[in-house]
Amino acid sequence: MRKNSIYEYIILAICSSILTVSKFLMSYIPNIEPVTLLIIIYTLIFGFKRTMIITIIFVLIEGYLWGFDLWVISYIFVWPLLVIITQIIKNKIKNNFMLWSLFAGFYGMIFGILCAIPLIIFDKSFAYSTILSGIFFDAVHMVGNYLIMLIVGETFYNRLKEVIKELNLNN
Amino acid sequence: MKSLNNVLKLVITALVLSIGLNMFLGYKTYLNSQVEEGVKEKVTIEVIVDVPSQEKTYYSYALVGSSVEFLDQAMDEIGMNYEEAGGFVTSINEITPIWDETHKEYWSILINGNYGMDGINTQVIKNGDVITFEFVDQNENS
Repeated sequence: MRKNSIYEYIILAICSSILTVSKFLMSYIPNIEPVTLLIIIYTLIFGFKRTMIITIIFVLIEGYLWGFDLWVISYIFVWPLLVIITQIIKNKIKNNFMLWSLFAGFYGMIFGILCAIPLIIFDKSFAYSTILSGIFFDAVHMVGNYLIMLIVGETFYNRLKEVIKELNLNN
Repeated sequence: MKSLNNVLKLVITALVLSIGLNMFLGYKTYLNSQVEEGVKEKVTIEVIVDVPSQEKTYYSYALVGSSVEFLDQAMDEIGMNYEEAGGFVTSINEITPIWDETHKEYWSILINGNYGMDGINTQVIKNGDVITFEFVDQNENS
């Protein structure tokens, strides 16, 4: 991607919009979301810094859409953490989408626990109850993330890579 | 080699689905075991309806340890309504919280002073429990 070019800003804005819109479109099914898939693939293609910007924009838009509350604090923690972990492990996993599916599933499974961590600051019992009452949704999240990554992960990754190449946006 | 990969994919997918199913079943079993224990004994619980700017209302219930029995009585006595999915309390004594862009109100459930672990319809009730329904207006609190 050309550094500091107008293209870069447009792509970052479009990617943030895709995150927000796709999450909104799937919001009628609890905890089935494309955000984990998209953030992982963005990190693989755009790298750490740009994906972090996309993620922060996404969290801010979510906050403006649904209202700033305790969950936004969890989002500020959880989604950038996904970018950091993906960046750390991406050279080990590379293009093995079976492993990325397992990683996405695992992240979905611990999502409730991760979201509850910032809540410990406010109330331990509230954090604990959030984890317990969310076990069912974490199970759904795990299976959803795993299947979404397994089914569309590789295709989406290849398509996005082609688009970036066609637009001559590589470094 | 490709068929081996497909078999591996199927096995791992089955494993993930089974972990998900076990998480769900384990959680349900845990909840049910808690309820079963309660059914054996007669329990007395206290309910407080706490609305700011109004005096707190106190209720006492003698039940056979059943959450369902409590719900039936509470729905009659304190006029409680809740959503089946999630057990979110929608109104008490005709006081219905409003949640939109300007209003951020809700009924909070506290069990012995701590936030309830579940919706009101899945909340396990034990002898001596104090259940507080607190009307919260986030705009006033902030």
